[in-house]
Amino acid sequence: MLVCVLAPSSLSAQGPAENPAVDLPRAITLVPDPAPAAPFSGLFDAASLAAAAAETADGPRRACEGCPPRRPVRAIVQTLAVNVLFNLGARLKPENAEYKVTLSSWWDNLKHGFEWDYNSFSVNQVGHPYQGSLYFNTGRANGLSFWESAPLVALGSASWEYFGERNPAAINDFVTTTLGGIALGEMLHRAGWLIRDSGATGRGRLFRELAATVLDPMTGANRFITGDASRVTENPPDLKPAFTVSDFELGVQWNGEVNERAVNATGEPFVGLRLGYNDVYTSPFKQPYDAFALTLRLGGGSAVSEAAIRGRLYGRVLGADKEKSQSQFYVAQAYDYQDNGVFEYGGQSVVVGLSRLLQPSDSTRLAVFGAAGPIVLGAIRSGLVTVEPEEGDPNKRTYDFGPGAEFAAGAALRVRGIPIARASYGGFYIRTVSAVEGVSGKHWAQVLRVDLLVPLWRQFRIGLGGDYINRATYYDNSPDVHQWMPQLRVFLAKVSR
Amino acid sequence: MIARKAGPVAVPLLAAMLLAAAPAAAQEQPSATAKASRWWAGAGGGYLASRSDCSNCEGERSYNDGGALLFQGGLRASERVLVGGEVFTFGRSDSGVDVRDTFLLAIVQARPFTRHGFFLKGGYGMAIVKDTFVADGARVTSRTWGMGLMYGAGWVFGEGHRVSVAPFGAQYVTTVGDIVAQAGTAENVVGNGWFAGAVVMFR
Repeated sequence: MLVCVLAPSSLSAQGPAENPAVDLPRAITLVPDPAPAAPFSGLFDAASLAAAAAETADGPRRACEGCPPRRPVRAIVQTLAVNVLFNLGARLKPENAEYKVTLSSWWDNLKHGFEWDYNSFSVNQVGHPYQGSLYFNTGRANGLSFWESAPLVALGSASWEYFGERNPAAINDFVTTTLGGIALGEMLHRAGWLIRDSGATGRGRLFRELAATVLDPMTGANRFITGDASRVTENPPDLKPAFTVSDFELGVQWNGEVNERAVNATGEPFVGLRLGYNDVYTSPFKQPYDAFALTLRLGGGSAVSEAAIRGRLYGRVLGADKEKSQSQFYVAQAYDYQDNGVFEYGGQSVVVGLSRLLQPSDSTRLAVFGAAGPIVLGAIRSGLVTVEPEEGDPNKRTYDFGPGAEFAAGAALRVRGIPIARASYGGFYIRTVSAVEGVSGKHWAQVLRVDLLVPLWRQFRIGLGGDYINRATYYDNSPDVHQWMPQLRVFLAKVSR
Repeated sequence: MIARKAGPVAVPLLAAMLLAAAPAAAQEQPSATAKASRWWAGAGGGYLASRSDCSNCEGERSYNDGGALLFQGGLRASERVLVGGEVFTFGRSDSGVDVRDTFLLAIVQARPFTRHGFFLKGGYGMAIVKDTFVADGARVTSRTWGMGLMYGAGWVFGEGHRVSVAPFGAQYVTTVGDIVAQAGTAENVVGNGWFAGAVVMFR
């Protein structure tokens, strides 16, 4: 049982295919969607909008029995209310003077426009996307579709940047909050519905609702407010995947210092999760994020050393004989975050890819893919930063911002549905448009990742993994930087499906 | 920097286009929708107030304003979603001012409501910027390129007809990084432009 998967992602190399969670069913074949959706066909769907426009005697219409009532205006109000709550919460600390906004500060911010901010990597690459996920899920919690909820994130982000703080609005925050918020938001929304069971009752039902609320607070809060949290009904059919595959990992990671071997580093413990929600490459496409892959690693050099999401936005089975075709064209949204104490990379991107499922023998499946696309905004550690910012330093940036492009290819090999190995190779380019050291440049990086999962006992595996990161930065008026950074991982994994 | 109004061609051009398009939009019959192409195109213009700044620029930089032109085209992804490209250009060249911003953007424009013309639009792509900065005591003039971004909202009149008119407001943002010249370097250059205008759209 081998799974080789190449990540459509760059650095984190955490492509869907690379995720053991994205396991293929034992005898899977690509099944064409009986009614393949056209791109954007679900966007502001006319039927749902028309239905929603008319309220029944019982209140706003629901798209399905277990779906939330459709209330677009309430979604907008709640999006803005999130900002009010964030602002009031921040003002509880007297030293947070930048949150004491006034009409004058609003006007000043509008006059000033966007600029780049200098917040820490985790705040800008995780904190802001999470804030965006709350905006997004005010839409999902109030019956809006994926595409209908997306503009809410831009609304929430722009209004926060201009009116939620006295600081000038930050263009990087606007982009990462909006795109990252969509990715995290839909992933968390669907993850929450993996926990909920609207048909259950009693204490177990309550615990499920509360646990799901931790993942997706906006949906949870709305369900408790509307009474849906206790209403016994069906689960929304669109939010229940045909299958999921998860991989919990516990292990140690060695992050080699720049141009140093990984074995010379100190091991850092980590806990990891890989979740496959349907299969990005093989599941029939119906709507955005009906297939996604998540990779999350806590510890391993920092609080969150790696997070990656690949959410399929569109998919189409290729070939004249769609019943037998094993190839698919797809478009996926990508969110990347990597910070292990040596290397920092974060990116919001969209990739277009081709995947193919090969069957070398009756029990063996090999999924291969190649993908490439633009990085809307990437953040990468500057090669010129040699001293870490001190605690309390308001300018905590150690990284450059810029747009770019990425590519990846990979494969996942499985025997009898069980992952054995995965491998990926990817790279990216970022053109600096905001340099932390005041020196613009062009960043290039390549990442090779290999993981082996050796069967141990039942669902348990011994995992061996390694990354090799090779980066180069060509500065406009400073010496170029070339670095390589290896990583090694040894872990115990429990695979579930 | 106080700049003289640039005598934009955009405003009279836009007025002429609107005058020409309005009767057409009003007279077109809904039956035209069925025959309409999946392709669409548009042209328009309006007023832009724009300001560029850098992290080491000296003093408070003022806004330049004037006329801007834009051209769009693309594919109708669904009845309420347009995808395509946009070229947006703004420039002033008079005493003490020599500014030119050009955006080449991939855009999406969507109407959330079936029965209303309200639409949201967003764009992302490349911006080509020519501007002058005084940074660290040096006067830096350069032409460079970087990231361009736009978002806005408007209302389309005559949707479903072959010709429609769409007034809208938007913010256009450019960010080009450092502008390096012999005299010095302007760091982390960002431009912000606020636009109000209209597009005449054909399908």
